[in-house]
Amino acid sequence: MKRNAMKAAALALAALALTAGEPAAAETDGDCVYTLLDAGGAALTQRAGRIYEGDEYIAADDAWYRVTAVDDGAHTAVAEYLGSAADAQAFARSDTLAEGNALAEDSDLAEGGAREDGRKLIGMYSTHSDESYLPEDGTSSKWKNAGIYDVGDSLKQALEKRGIDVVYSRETFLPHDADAYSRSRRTAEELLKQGPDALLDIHRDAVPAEQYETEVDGEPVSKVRLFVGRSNQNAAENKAFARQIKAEADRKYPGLIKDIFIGKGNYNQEIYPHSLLLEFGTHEIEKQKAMESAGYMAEVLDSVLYGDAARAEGAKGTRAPAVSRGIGWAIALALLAAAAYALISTGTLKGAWHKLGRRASEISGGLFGNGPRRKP
Amino acid sequence: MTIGFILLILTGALILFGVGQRVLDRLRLTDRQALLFIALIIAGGFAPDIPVTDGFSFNVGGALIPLILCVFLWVRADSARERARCLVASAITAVAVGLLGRYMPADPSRLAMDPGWVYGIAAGLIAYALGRSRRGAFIAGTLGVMLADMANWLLIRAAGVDQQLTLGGAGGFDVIVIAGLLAVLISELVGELTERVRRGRRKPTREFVNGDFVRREQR
Repeated sequence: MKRNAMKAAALALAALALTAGEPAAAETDGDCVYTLLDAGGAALTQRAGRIYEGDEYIAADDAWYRVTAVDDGAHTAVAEYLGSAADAQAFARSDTLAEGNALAEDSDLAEGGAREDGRKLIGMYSTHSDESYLPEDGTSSKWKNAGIYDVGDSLKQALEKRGIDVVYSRETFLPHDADAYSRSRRTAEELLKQGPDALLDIHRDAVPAEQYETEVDGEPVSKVRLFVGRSNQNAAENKAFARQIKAEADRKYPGLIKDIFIGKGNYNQEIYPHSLLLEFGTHEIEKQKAMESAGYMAEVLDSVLYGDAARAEGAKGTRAPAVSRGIGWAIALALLAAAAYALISTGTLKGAWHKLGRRASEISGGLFGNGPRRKP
Repeated sequence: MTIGFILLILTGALILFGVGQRVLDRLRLTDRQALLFIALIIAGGFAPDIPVTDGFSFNVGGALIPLILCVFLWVRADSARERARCLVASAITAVAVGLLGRYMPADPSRLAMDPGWVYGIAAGLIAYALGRSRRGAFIAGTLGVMLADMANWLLIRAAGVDQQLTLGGAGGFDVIVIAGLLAVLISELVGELTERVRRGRRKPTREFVNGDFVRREQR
């Protein structure tokens, strides 16, 4: 028993060593910032956190890039230019964005207006409940009365003024560690029970302030980054949602949306196709600017979810097959995992095939696969 | 919500249902018992959370049913020694989960996998090392994450923050359920691998039938 306990402790420590990385604090105070470069070496943007090969980036001018190389030593990544996000021809060359493009035209949002009961509802929460703004809050991380809730409240009030009900959970999910998203998922699921039209996770970024400084209607405000997690079955829907918001904001308030970053990870976006992470400014920017931009974002969201933009998109046609693509991916992954397990446990292709057949037979009540061997 | 959205969400639930049923089936539960528990976990996730004290509540599907299943499995364990091992594995898993949560990167993009998966793997390995028990793995994964959750909540409350804890609040997709199910799969996988290495090319002498291993007749 003692020997086994030692083995268990060793295994736990080994797992710890394998997964440990830079402490969470480094990701909140701007110490871990990667710069994305184009093929010519010009800086495109920055991200507070690592950038991965395969991440995608849609710049303010709709230039669309995909990351091809990452240099962890220099904290830089290089992206290849793929075309314009506004150009349907360019998107047609990409499976992922062509799918997103079609969805942007035909998405659920495009049905125009509120639900059958007439209620307009948006759910909001802030996974990183300590995120704050240095100029007003005095620190970038506060466990009580964090600045991010002031920005969330501004967005809520602006949406409510437009006749949209908002449930903004002020629950905290401390500490700001790897489990923050597991904790906030519980609140996100609770919000989903009310059937919101969109589920927004309100954040702020941790890159230098100048990246987010802008003016809208002559007023200094903070830009807003739309962040999509690409490692989930809803990614195409989430991307389409982000692209619709950017298109509408670009039309109404050019410069308000900084860009769209499509990065590795799921950020709880796997639980709902209309979920999105919004970065209102950065830790170094004045919170007031982020609160001002929340007012403009409310108008954009209203238009995309319930207003003219939604009705205009609704007139374009039927739904794209991206939902079925998402379902297909989920099922394919489940089947792949089952096949890998069967192969490992039996050691031969024939054995794995037989095992899968048995399982298919059991699950389908004998309709598919092969049943157990019977004695003659 | 369109039919497409509903289908997308239903697919996730059905996969959880299928995988969950297969996993619980490995815990010496009958097919019906496994189906019942996994159905209760999914359906219970939609029930209102049950408040216990100020700031603490739990979800039926994400916490209560998994806890009942843990007790059910624990009571049915073969010996007092196995029952003790289950508790030790749960305590070690709770410590491992607490440490992993603290030291893993906070940004999901920097994680190779979802934290719930990491905890499931840790629980599966710990339980297997302690007693090669699939039941122990489920109990360690489930109770370990629950204990770590509650410990974190108490620490945050002690720091003066009025944080809420809804144990298992994400229902069937909560980290508690994911870690419990994955722990069984990991211990199963490690068990199958080590058994296969030991067995070489000889045919297996045991077969899994109706929730239990039985000696296979040599043909």
